[in-house]
Amino acid sequence: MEGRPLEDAELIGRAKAGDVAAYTELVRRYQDVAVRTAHVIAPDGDAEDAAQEAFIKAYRALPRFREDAPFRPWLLQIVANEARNRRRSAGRRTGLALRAAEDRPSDDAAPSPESAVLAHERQAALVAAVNALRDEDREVIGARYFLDLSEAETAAALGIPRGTVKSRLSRALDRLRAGMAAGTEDAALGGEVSRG
Amino acid sequence: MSIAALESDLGTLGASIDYPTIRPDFAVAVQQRLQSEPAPARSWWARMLGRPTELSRDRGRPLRPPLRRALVLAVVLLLVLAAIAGAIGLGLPGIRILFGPGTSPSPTATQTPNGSAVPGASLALGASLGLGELTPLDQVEGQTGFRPLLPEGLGSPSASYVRDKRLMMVWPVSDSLPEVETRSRVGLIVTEFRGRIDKGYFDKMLNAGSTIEPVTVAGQPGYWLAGAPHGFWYVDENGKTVDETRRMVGQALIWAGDTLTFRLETSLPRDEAIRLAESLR
Repeated sequence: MEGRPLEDAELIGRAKAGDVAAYTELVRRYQDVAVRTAHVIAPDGDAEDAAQEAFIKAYRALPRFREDAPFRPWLLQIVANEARNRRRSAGRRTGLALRAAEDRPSDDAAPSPESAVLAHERQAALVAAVNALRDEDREVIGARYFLDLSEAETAAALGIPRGTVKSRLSRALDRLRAGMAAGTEDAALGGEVSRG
Repeated sequence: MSIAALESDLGTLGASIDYPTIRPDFAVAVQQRLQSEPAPARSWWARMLGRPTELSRDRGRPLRPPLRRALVLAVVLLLVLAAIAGAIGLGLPGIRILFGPGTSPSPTATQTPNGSAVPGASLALGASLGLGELTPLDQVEGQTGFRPLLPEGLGSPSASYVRDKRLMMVWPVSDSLPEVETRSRVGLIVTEFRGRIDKGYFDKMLNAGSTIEPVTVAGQPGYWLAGAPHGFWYVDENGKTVDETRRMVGQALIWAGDTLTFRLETSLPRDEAIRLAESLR
């Protein structure tokens, strides 16, 4: 068709005019970050289902979207809302989990089995501490560090002002550090690391 | 542990989170769901207003939002003015809002001045409907600037009329074409013109007894109008709104082709009307 990939704005323009194929291209572009966002917001829900629903809702809302605005944060806000709604209706909480060690990309440094185990335990403790955070703290940590969103994108996706992102992030990090310290003490006392 | 170390650990942790695997047909599933529902918002009238969008998009320059907003405002203002004027019994040149026929008789031209409803045998079919200037089919293109498209299997129309570059063709009642309007002897009227139907106007003029249903005709957007008789407006190729208040139409299928807009007046059920419409060649 054309030699270069189309800009988001061009695809959005076409999608607004009813071109579903153009919108499908946008879906392909953002499906990974959408599903991850849904999972970070609501780890115990069906993230794929939430993301799919969000893409449908975003399509219907396209006429209200300004073509010159960035698409990703706008989409992620719809994803986050969809995931939150599902979270509220879900009862029992699980949380974020680590991938099994064999699935993970091996470092160039090829650590010894002992240090790999140690690193894994440390990550397990950290993820448990993140899971123990309140929803709003976990959301902001997840958006900034796991999804790698900028501060502005985090604000848009979570639907909060940028100043709130800063202050909430700073408080969340403090709580997380406190949680990690408590977890380490627990571990030292032979207790369970997971506080989930 | 310092905050900086914690942030660094969190960054590393992001790569180790067990995210759900996306199934390969994720995007296709979204596409299929969207295709099973009507297009979102940009109906014909929105696209009409959005025409500058397409032009400016080609140049990749977002210069049109103010222009489009001004257009939308102008249309809304006209509609409001027209509605007010209609309510107090005035008409604005070019635009009139009909609030449906209510209990008043439909102002069709089927009745001759002496009250006899059957057009004279010497007149061409549909001559009393006020469709335009009787024009032989082979001269239509010279008048309208486009080649007339005919439905398959019905042969040439009994008569064709042109007004303001708009073509209207009439076929007689037959076994396959029930009468469009009582005692008119007309079984089908096909209208073709360069222009766009403005759904905004339809919404305004449909009354409680009329229904408008979005349909697809050969992959193009269209509307099926049924129930109580409705008036008819369109925006011609110069962007001028043309109203046709002389006739009230019962059932009609209206759709946009690539360059022409079509209307098919028929008493056939919706799906048969769509099949007939899709046979235009």
